[in-house]
This record gives sequence, structure tokens and C-alpha cells, in this order.
Amino acid sequence: MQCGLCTSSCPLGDAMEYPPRRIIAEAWNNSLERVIHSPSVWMCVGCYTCSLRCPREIDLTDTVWPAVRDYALQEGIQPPPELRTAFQNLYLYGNVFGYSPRKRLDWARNLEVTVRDLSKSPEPVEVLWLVGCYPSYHPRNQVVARDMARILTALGVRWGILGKEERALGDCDRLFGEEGLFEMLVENNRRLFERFKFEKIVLLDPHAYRALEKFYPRFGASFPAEHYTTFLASRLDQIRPWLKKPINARVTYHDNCCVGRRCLCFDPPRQLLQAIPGVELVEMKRNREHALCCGGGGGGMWLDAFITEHGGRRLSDVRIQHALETGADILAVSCPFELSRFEDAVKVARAEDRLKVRDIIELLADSMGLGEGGGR
Amino acid sequence: MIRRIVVPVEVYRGHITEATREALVAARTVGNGVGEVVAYVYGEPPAEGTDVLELADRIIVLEDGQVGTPVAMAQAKLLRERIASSDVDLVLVGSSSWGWDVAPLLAGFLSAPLVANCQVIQHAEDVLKATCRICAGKLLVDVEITNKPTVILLLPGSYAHREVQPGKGVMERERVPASDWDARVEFKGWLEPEREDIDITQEEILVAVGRGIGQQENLELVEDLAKTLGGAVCGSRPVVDQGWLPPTRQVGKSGMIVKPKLYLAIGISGAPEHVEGMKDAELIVAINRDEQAPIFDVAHYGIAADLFDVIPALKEALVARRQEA
Amino acid sequence: MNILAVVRLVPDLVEPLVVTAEEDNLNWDQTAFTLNESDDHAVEEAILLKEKYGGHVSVVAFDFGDIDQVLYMLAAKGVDRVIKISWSHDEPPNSLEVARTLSRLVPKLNVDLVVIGCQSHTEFLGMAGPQLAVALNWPYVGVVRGVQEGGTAGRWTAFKEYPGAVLAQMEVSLPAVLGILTASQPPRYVPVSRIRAAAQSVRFETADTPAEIEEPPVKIQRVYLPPAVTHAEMLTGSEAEVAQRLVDILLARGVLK
Repeated sequence: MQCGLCTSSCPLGDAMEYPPRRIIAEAWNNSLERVIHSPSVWMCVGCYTCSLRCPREIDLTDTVWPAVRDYALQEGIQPPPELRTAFQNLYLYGNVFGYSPRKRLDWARNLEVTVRDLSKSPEPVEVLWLVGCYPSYHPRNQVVARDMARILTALGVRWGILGKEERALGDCDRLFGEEGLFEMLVENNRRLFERFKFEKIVLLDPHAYRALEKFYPRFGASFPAEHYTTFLASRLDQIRPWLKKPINARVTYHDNCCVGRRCLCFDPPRQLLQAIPGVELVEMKRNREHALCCGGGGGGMWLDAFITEHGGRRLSDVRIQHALETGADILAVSCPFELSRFEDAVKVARAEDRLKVRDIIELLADSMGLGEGGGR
Repeated sequence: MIRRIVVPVEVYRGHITEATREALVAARTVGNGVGEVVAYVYGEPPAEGTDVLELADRIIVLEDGQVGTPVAMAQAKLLRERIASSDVDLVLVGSSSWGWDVAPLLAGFLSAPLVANCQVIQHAEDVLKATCRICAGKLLVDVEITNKPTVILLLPGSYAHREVQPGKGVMERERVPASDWDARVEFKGWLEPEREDIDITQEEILVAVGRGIGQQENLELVEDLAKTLGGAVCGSRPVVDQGWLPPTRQVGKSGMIVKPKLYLAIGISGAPEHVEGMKDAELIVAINRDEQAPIFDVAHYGIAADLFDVIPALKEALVARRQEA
Repeated sequence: MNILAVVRLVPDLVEPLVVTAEEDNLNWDQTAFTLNESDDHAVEEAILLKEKYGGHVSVVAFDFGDIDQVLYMLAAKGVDRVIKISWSHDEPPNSLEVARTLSRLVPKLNVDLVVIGCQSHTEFLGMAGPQLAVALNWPYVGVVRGVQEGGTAGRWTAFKEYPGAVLAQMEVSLPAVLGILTASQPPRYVPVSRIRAAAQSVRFETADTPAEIEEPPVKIQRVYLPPAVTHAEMLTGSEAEVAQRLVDILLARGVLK
């Protein structure tokens, strides 16, 4: 249709030599060879704004971009170095950092609640909790992992994890055209999950959640899955009596792209926040399906230098201004990437004494009297 | 008993290298004042800076033709007969691009053992031991050296600051027939890199700044300190994002990976993304107000104090020490 | 131009190293392996040379551990021939074994150039590249960043890297062995789908030269981990005291001249 709504919606559209609309045009013209040599190919951060707004419902983010990128990779185009390293790490070690799989449980060392490591002692559980790479390895996110463990335990949920056998679900690689890598991860994960008995899978990472919910079934790997916000919101009646300690703060919530805009799921996180006594929930001017992406998705976590070099900007720096404008004391998030991205953005904006970034889990845990105290 | 230790001398663009000096110091240390230290110089010694050769007892200058060109293979080969025919126990070679070729080639030519990545040599009660550091410093191996000769390739640093007595420093000259020179590799010249900015991955001393520096104006303080130290300024991502330093100075996951001799981290918290870029530096010193800052988990030495107090004091101490020397 | 690239597996330092209880060796059962980084660069340089000047690239490796996965990846990058040397031991071959075995294999292979990484984590009682060169009586230049055709009288040029990215231009007569530090460009990424396709299609050849066992002529007395450093040693006192202490440390460590 060439209406151009995608390009104008794209947060990085103005920096792209080939923004979404042009990519489709070139694809129609069979002239993608030009496109694949352009840096634009690597600039999509998987925010789904174009896909949401397309009047023809063309799923650009999940279909067109990965296909173009796959084509580029097959033609020998080299992805930007940081992204290359992330792919290689995923391939060799099952996590984007390139850390040892044996260190995947370090976050739970000295944890005071019982961790059921199903890889060591399999038993049927209600919830198979896939912790995720960032919460397992990154110090800032490990706090969230521990608070989640405490909350699940307090609620009496029978939960288990895969311990050192857990690997990335994949999703950023898929969006980035590494179909082969994604397939490999799906196959390995399917074989892994099939060994265990559980009622549902709960994830902290919205990207992984979406991969599991939407793309794994295409490979014959169907498992019931929920993002933690949905899971916990469905248990709000159980959680409420625990929320004793007030958090007297103005809180604004940033909708993540995968569970938010893509799945049109906006209420559960807000229900959780509003249940905390003392919280005054305020909205940023762009919220829900119009929220501005933090820039971390679709491989964006590894492309900040690349994107900035090619005329783009760190979207989290822009988004943090929206949060500051609300006068909020706390920016609440529910995606692992957002914690470090927004904390960096707060530093750059020199607003460390004005705004704190917290995952919803940390806020819940604090109010439940279980929390570690969050980040610095 | 150590009878003789040979040290091939590397002259790099007119200067005897620090690596060679360390090898000579090591030779004097291991020789215990009994073994004779013989230095081989390829071509005419440089006009200046040859005091270091006085650490040797005999300085043999090999002359003429291409002998002075930095062709490690041909130069190593020249030592083959000279070492095989005399009572040489050890050949010590300093680590450098040249040394990395000379040591194993010479070991091959002599059919002698090679001990590379050697951190320290101990000679006690007629037993010669070496400790090697391998696997990027994560593994140590102690070996006993019994073959004579053995070629040792030393790691930089262990013999940098030992006090030793000088040798006899007697110079001899030897002419090398052209036919002895293996001309299958020929040195054609040096190529300087083209650069807009310095390459921080090549700097030995880096002074890194983080958000703790507060404002761009304060960078001057850090630049001044870097200059006093003889190093370069680099920074973490937030500092580069703000435009205070160019991207060529960024250290970290989305910047450069550096392995300098000294990484002085000032006002840097130590986020994993940054640590990834500098964790293999030889010596890491961190200054941060917050004693809980994660940078102290990766640093060797830490100062939990206000950087605005420490930097001037450090500069003063450095200048004073320099004036004493 | 026929090029042979040598690849080796080395301990993967992402995993913590484990030493035997007797402290006489690495505990090889508990060691994870990865492709030696400078060998990866050597293969890349070989492929670049083939792309630029034509010719043929073979890769040779000892059949140890998960080398097949590495070889599929290299096949996917575009090497023409993959040769495996049989090896049935629990630990990987040492550099002397690599050099000695290859010195008997190379003359049978009709190659003009052998490229091999000039560094490897576990090389300390030998260095495979230079010692292979000596055994073959071929010229050797190491710490090479980039190779080019062209020089006087049909020679090739190797750029030997010095500090500050200064390069020494060295003309080399072929056949020769070059020890590669880094390739002219970073090792190319190859998508996983290509690696999997290569796994289906590539055929490995077995070298008809058996591996030679070589005991290092130096006695290993102890293999051990360095003492762990978990936290910085904090310097305390007034600013002046702390500054003095720091200067002392810098001098002792040889950082200040």
C-alpha cells in the first residue's frame, strides 16, 4: 500500500537509509541486494510499532525484517561486531554474554529460600520458571531473580528451575535473521523441557515469552507460557494480604514492547503496581500501545554503538525524559533489558537523585517485606 | 653450576629494548655472579643507550651486511653454531614480537628445549627451575630444567626492577660471512599506522573516567594526571555518550577491549559491560567514593575516597618522586 | 597458491580451570575446549588470500574432542579440504607433537604456505609454528597481521606486528610457515544454518601420516592455579599517604619508569 505509516511510526526511521516502507518497496522490486549492504538492515530494535499500525496488518517486525536479515547473512554480509559476538556466544554457550553455563546458578548462591533444581532432581511442579540470561548473570538483574524466588515461595507456588541446563530461549537471534541459530535453540529447548512435568512456564523476559508463545509451536514445541506480570496479576488476591509495607512514591510504568504492544497486554502490570499501598501511579504521555521502545529489543542491546554511529540515538535516553516529565520517583519496568538501559539513561540525564528504576518484582518484594533493596 | 648464559640483544629502531634489559638482568640474577653472561648484538650497537650492555660480561657484536636488520629467523640462525660449540646453559630472550620468533626458532635450530611464558627462574643448589604462566594467566606450571642449553622466553615484568651488579662489559667483534645469513626473509621497512586518534588498545597506561567525574570541565584534571603518568585517557560508555570523549576512547563491551600495564579507573562503578573491556589489564587500580562499587571486585588495589582529593595528591606524589630520581 | 591452515583446540577459559589432585596436569575431563583464537585468524587469512589471489585452502586438525564442530564451521566459511589426524588420547597434542607430526605430513601435501596461530594458551614447552618451520627447513615469520602477494622475485609479504600497531614489512620466499596473530579482517561470521548444512555435506579426510608422540624434554613439576584474588586491596590513610603508597606500588610493578 505504501502509505508510509510504518516509517513515520518507526522510532529510528529517520536514521535509516532504508526505513520499513522502502524495504518493502525494494522487496517488491526484487532489488534487495542494495538493501542488505546498508546499515539500515541492522537498525530495527524490534519494537513492533510498525506492525501494530500497519493498516494492511503486515507483520513487518516478525516477518519482513528477519527475512531480509537472513538474506543478508546468507549472502555473507557481516553483522556489526558486537552482534556477531552475541550470536557466537549464544551458539557456543547458550547465553549472549559468553559466560560459562556452569555459572548460571550463581545468582541463587546463599539464597534463603529453597530452589528446586529440576535438572538435578526432577519432580513435577506447577511452574517451570525460566530465569533467563540477564537475571541469571547480570548483577543488577540477579537481584530481581532472587526477589522473584522469594515471592513465588511466599505465595506457596510449587516452582522449579532448570539450573545449569537452562539456556537462552532465543528471539533476538530470530529477529536478527539467524534462523539457523533460533532453530537450534528451539530444538535443544524442546528436548530439554519435554523431560520435565510442569503445568506452565513462567518467564521474566518478554522477548523469550513471545518466542515461546508464538514461534516455538511452529517447530512442534508447544508449552503453556505466561509472562510473570500476567502470572502474578492472576494471583493478586493471594498477593494483596502480603503487601503490607507501603511504598510512598509516584510510580510510572514503562510498557515493554513484547508483552505490551505486541500482545496488547497492558493491565496486569498496572494492577500489580496499584495494589502496592502508597503507590501513586502516573502515566507517561506515550503509554500502552504507544509507548516508546527502550531500544533493547531485536538485538538492540548490542547495537547502541552501531545505531548511534549511523545517525540514530539511544531510545532509552529519549524515553527517560518522558518518565522525568511525569515527576515520578520510580520508573517501574518488567523487562530485564530495561533495568540497565534506563539506569544508564538516568545517569546520562543526571537525574540519579530524582528517579530510580525498579522492576515490578522488586517493588512487590519490598512491599512484601522480602526485598533485597533493589539497585544502587 | 651455570657456566654461560647467552642473551640475544634486540635493537628496535635504534634502541635496545626494555625486554632485552630484563633478559640481561635475569641472566645476571640466575648466573649468581658465577656464570658468564654473553650478549650478542646484531650489527653496530646504537649510538646511545648502550649502558645496559654492561650487564653482560662479554658483548659480541656481529658485523656487516644485513645482520642488523630485524629478521628474527636469520639472526637466530647465526647463534646456532656459536651456542652449540660453547658451554652455554641458558639462552634468555625477552618477550617481544622479535623475541617470540627468535626463542622458538633458536630452540629448534639447537634442538634444545624451549620454556616460554616464563615468569621467574630460580637457581638453587644446582637445580634450575622456572615458573611459567599460561592460559591467559590462569594457570601456573613449575618446571625443572636439566638440558643444556635450554632457551627461555621471559614474560615481561618479573625482572624489571631487580638490582644487579654490572658485568665486565668487554666488547668483541665478529664478522659474519654473507653466506651465513639466511636471506629467505628480508626486512623491507617499517610501516606507521594511520590514525586520527590514538589507539587505546596499544597504550600501556590508561586512565579511565566514569560518570563520577561529574562534569566535562573536570576531565582536565584527569588528562593532566594521565600526562604525568605517561598514559592516555579513556572512558566508560556514559562518558562517551555524553560526548565528553570520542568513541575511540570507549572501553567496554560496545567499545574496545584493552589490556594495558596499568588501568586506573576513576569514578567508574564497574558495571559488567565496562569490566568486560578491561578485566585483563595487568594492574587495575580503582578510585571511587563508594566502597561497595563493583569495580573493587575486579581491581587489584582500591581507594575508597573522593577522586577530587586523590587525584591532586597522586599527581603531587608522582612529580615529587620523579624529581628525586 | 595452496595454503594449509592448522587449527587446534585449546582450553576454553570461559570455564574455570581444574587441576588434578596431584597437581601434575589439567584435569582434562573437566576441561571445556574451544578453537584457538589465533588459529581462527590463520584460517581467515588463508581464505582471504584465496579470495584475492586464487588457489586452494586446506585445514588440518588433530581428531580430538569436539573438533568436528569447529571443522564444520570452517567448511561453511569456504575451505576446500579438511584433513584430520587420528589421535586417541585424553589430552590434546602438545606443540612438539603438532610440529613433529605436521613436519611429516606437509611435504606430502603440495602446499606453498602453512599458516598457524602464533599463540596458544597451552604452548610453553614449544611453539608449533616456528618449530614446524625448522623441521621443514622453511622460512618463518611470526606475529603476522596480514599477508600479501607481491615483493621482489615472486616473494610474498608478511606484515609483522610491533607495539603501537607499527608493522615490519617482511618479504618471504615460499614455501614458508607464517605464524598469524590477527587476520587482515576479523574472522567472518557464518550463519548457523550454513554450519548445519556443512555438517551434512562435508567429508573429512584422514591423514595417512600417523601422529608422533613427543615427550617434552623439560620436567613438569607442578601444575597449579594462581592464588585467587577476589577483592581489591584497599589503600587507606590520608590522601598524601595513599598517593605515596600507590606510587610505590606502581614503581614496584614496573609501571613507572
